[in-house]
Amino acid sequence: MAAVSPTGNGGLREWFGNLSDRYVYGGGALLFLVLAWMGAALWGAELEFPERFVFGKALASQVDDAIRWITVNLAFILDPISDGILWFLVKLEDFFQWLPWPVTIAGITAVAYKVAGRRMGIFAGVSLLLLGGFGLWQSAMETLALIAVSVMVSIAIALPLGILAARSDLIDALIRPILDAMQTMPAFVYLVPAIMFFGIGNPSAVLATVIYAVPPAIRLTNLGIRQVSPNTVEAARAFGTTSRQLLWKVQVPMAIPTIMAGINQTTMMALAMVVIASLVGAGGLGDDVNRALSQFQPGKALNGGIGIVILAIIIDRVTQAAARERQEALMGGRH
Amino acid sequence: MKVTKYVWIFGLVALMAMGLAACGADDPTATPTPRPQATPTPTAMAAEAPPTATPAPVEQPVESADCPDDSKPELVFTDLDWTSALIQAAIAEQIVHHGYCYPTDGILLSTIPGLQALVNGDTVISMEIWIPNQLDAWNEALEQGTVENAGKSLEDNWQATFVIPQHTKDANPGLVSVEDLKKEEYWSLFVTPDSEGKARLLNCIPGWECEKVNLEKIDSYELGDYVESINPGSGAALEAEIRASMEKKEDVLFYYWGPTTLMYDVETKYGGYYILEEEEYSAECWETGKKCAYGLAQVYIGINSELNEMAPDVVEFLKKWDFNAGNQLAAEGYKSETDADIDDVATWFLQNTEEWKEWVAEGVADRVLANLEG
Repeated sequence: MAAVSPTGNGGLREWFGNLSDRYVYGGGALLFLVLAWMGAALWGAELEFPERFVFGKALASQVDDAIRWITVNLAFILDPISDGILWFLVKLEDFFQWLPWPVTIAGITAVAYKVAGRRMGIFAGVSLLLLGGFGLWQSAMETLALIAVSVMVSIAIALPLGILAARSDLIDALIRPILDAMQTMPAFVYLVPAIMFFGIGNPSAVLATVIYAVPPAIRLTNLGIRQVSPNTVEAARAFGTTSRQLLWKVQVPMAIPTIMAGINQTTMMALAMVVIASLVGAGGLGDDVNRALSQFQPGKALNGGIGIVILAIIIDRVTQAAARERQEALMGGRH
Repeated sequence: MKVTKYVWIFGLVALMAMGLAACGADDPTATPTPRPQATPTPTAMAAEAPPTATPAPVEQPVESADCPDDSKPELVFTDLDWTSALIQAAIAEQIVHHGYCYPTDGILLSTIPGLQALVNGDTVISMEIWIPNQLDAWNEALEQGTVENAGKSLEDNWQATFVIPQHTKDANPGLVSVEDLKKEEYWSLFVTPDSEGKARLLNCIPGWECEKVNLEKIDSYELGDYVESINPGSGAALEAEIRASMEKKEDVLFYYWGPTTLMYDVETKYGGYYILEEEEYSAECWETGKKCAYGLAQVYIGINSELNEMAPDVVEFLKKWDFNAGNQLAAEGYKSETDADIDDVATWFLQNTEEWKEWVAEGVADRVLANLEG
């Protein structure tokens, strides 16, 4: 008897001890679900969510009021932002339109050739000629201006935020869910408020594009700086660098390939937003697609779509090659 | 060794669950459990008696109580994605469902996909075919014989190229007709950074006929040096921009149409609007440069031809449909006042207005109302 009880106890403890935590929790959760279900069946409770706890509609109208309030009362901040973006974008667009097309094609081909090699150079030249042949030149330049401004705004936001997040775990933890939300929130949700704040046209399009496209640049800036090897940091500290010198002279330069990968992704995501941006009145290739869709012209829509793809491939390959070059330069420097 | 334990535990839990669930299912009938929801039974006697006697009432909305239980085909509506079309579709759907006893469904679509769905037979009823805006696509479908015109939809509509808020009009009483836009004091009111130093005109939805018409009007009025057409991108964007300008009491020059919820709101909440004067519509002027106001747009109900066999009674009802301005204002006004969902607006409309009862076959109206009660 005396022998049985300890072994029995020990056996039981061992029995549960062998179970890793997640099985215990998982089993517990399962048991809870089963009990809850049984309870519901037992009491014949309504399985629909009780009406009196539903607050969605009241909340939604509060949000409507808040948006109206911001539209009217914060116009003194929002209007200058909108006008500034618009002014810059109009200038850039005018510049792209003013450049004669052979100059633009030659310039982009040369850059692609130098950065990404001969094959990419040929591809860029041919596909840009194709863009002209589709009759999309003007639209493509408008889209290019929109993407350029969106990416610049994104970088201006992403670099400081990424650096802050790299230097503080608290900030990192705070912005992570916000970035997740920005990437998954359907764009239609913030398009209408964007128009209320910024009006129809390119500023709203830039805002919507930035919201969707900025997260990878922030994440990869953060990651790039955190990835700088501790040895390097320690060595720099041993030479007596201040924290600011460490950041600007060691961490940021070492992180640049990663940061550029982030900017590359941001640019790709900005291009993906082109058609949605056209729904708030942005011109360019997205508008061609939107317009073709509303007139049942699938062929025209395809032209516009191919135009977007061509821009995307050129920008992607060139920026990737630039990042790689930079990476190789860094590796070379370390040896 | 380890694995078997988990299997054992899992099996035990599953067994317990099954056993208990089985008991749970039996319980309500076996033992009388207090059930406050079920007590309001017709007679006092029933309330006194132990609830054991009554079978467990199923808490399901009683659908189509008065409908004879025959299996009719499901009728799918194209729910076009703007308010008036959604309201019309919801009202018609409730009548067809509760009154004519067809199972119904609706698919939310924008103009061209909506038309395509109707042609393919994925949907069978579309409550608003705006002929001028989809003329080619609609005519093509008509020729193929896959779709049919089932009578008029919205009738008392207006659209105008040059609309301004009443507050702009009040501040500039001299701004009366379209020609006045050529005076600097007036066109300069509407200049923005993106309008190239001209008055900014919010045009119609891109790709629609009205966009081309408005551009043609700008040309024939020789307004090209004074007015810059701005593409709003989408109907939602156009509405949001106008609302924002109204909220901020800004000067804005826009194309719009009515009756719509937006224009109802503008009239009731934002002080109203003013349409710059133009010559009245005539077919002659429309063929020569369109230097005059819009005429009435033709808006029809479109059906897939198969509906004639699927539901002849519904086709007959649609042909009597007459959603005139009075009806539309009632519905859109109620929506604007209460911020109700479209379905609730439709229910309210059916319960509180009378005209629709003349569109339906005998007995249908009573059945609709009875079913809405239940």
